[in-house]
Amino acid sequence: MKLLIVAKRELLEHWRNWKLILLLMAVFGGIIMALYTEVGPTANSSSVLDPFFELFAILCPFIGIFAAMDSVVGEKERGTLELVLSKPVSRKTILYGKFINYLIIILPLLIIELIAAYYYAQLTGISTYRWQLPMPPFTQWMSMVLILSMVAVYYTALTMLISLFARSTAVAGLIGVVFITPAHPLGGEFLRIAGMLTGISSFDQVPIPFRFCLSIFGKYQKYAMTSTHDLWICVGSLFIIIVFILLISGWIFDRQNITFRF
Amino acid sequence: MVEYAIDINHLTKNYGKLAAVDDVSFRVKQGISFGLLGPNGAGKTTTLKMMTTLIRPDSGSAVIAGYDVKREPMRVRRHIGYVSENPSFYPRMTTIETLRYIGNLLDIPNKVLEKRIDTNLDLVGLLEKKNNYVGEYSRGMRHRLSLAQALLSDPEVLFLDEPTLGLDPIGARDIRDLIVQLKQRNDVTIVMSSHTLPEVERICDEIAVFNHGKIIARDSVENLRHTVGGKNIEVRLIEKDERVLTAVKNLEFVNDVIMENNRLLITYSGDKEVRPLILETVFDINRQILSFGSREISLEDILFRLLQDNDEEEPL
Repeated sequence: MKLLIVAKRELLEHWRNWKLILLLMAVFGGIIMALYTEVGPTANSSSVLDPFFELFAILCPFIGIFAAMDSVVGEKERGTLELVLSKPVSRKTILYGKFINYLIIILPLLIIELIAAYYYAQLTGISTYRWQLPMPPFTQWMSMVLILSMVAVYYTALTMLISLFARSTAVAGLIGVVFITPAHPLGGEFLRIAGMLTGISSFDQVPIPFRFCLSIFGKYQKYAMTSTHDLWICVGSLFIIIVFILLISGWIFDRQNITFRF
Repeated sequence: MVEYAIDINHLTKNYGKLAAVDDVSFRVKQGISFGLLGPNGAGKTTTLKMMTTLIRPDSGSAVIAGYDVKREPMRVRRHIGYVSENPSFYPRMTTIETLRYIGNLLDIPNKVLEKRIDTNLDLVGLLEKKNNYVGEYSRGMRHRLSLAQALLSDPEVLFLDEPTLGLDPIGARDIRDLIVQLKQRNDVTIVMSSHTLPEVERICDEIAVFNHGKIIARDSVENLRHTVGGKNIEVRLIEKDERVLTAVKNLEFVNDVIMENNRLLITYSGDKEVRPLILETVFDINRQILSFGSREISLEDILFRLLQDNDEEEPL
C-alpha cells in the first residue's frame, strides 16, 4: 500500500535527521522537569498527576507541532513535492502517509516514556520523599497518557493543515504555537468566565453534547482524567476532531494550486 | 500505442487576471522530439506542468499517451517520465533508496525494479554511486539521477524542463548525449523546454514557440528557417551604425533587418542580383565593413524575429 510506502520513507527521514531522537529527548526532558525541578504540585494537588499533566499539556502540543510543521511546506521548500506528485500517487495518500508516520513516531514514544516515568517514580519513591504525595493508581495515570497522546495527535493534525498554507516551516510552527495559547492558559480563563455567565461551576453540570466541544481545553482534559465517563467523551471528541481535520486537509490539498518551490 | 503521444486542445490556465497559458492547441506524434521555446514567463513550464498533471488546467483538454490529464491523471503519470528544471531529492536517502521509493510509487515489481535501477544508473553513469547519499551530489549528478528516475516507468513520453539548466559545459554535454541516445530509441516521445537553442536544434524534430501564453509558431526547425528565415545576409561593421539600419530597411526588397551591436542580419526577397545593391547601400553610408556574406539563419534569429513580430502585432 502506498500509504505505508510514504510512511516508511518519512520514518527513515525522521530517523536520519534526528527528529525522532530529538522528540524522544524532549519527552524525556519533560519527565525530568516534572519529577525533579520545582514544577511540582501546588497546595491543591492530590497526587503527582497534577504537575505531570500541567507540564505535558503544554509539551505535547509542542511535540505535535515540531513533528508536523515541515510536513507539506518542507517538501515545497526542498522542491521534492514536484518529484512525488509526478508519480501515480494521490495527494491524500502523501498527506495521510505522513500522518501515519507521525503516529508511529509520537505515540509509542509518549506512551512508553510516560509509563516508564510512572514506574520510575514508584521505584524511587520520589513522590513521597519529594512531595509527600501518593502516586496515582496506574489506571488514572494511563488516563492521563491517553489524553496527552490524543492532544499530541490533535496538534499534529492541526499543524499538518497549517503546513498546507504556510510559506515556510518556521511560519507553520509559529502558527501552530499560536493555537496552543487559547486552549491552555487563555482557555482556562474563557471557561471560568463562561461558567460565571451560565451559572455552571463544574464540568459535571455541563450538558454532555457541550462537553464534546471542551476537549481541546486543558482544564477539561485535566477534569476528564478523574472521570471514566468524561475520559471517553474527551478522547472520543478529540478523535472526531482529528479525523475531521484530516478530511479537511485531504480535501484542501487535493484542490490546491500548488506553488512547487518557494 | 496511440498515434499522437500528445494531443492538446484549447488548454488554458489563468492566475488571477494573467493568462499564463491561453488557448493552446497542438499535437505531437509518437516518437517525435518536440521543443517548447519562448522567453521567460511565456507559458512553457505551465504547459509542461499541465501535461504532467502537476497543475490542473482551467479549461481545455490534454491527452497524454492516450489518457486525459483531468479524468485519468494517475494513468498519465504511469506512462510518463518528468525531469524538472531544478531536480530535488531527499538528501538523507541514498541513490538506491530514492529510486526504490520512486519505483514503489510506480508499482513496479521488485525484481523488475532492481534490474531497471541498475540499467538506468549505468545509463546515466551513476552506478558506482548507488549507496551514496543524494545530499552529497553535485548539480550535474542530480540532473543525471533525475533522468534515471524519470526512465524507471519505461515512459512513453518523457518531459524535460530545462534539462541542462545551470550545468557546466561538460555536464550539459553529457545530459545532451543521454537525451540523444534516448531519442534514438524511437519508442519514446521527448518534450523538452529549453533556452539553450543549439541543444534544441540538435535534439528536437519540431518546436513550438510560446509568447504571452500562446503558441506563435509551430513547425520543424528547417521549415521555420525557410518560412521565417528567408534569404539572409549578414553584415558586420566596425561599430554599430543606426543610419545603416535605416537605409537598408528602406530598400524595397528587404523584408526585415535585425541589428545586434555591430551586426546586421538582413532578410531579403529576390535573387542574387539584389545583394550588390545591399552592399552598395551599406558602403555609401559606412565604409568600415568587416564582413559581408550570406548566412543560414540560426534558431536564435528565428526566435528573435518571431517574438519581435508577435510583439509588434500585439503590443502589451
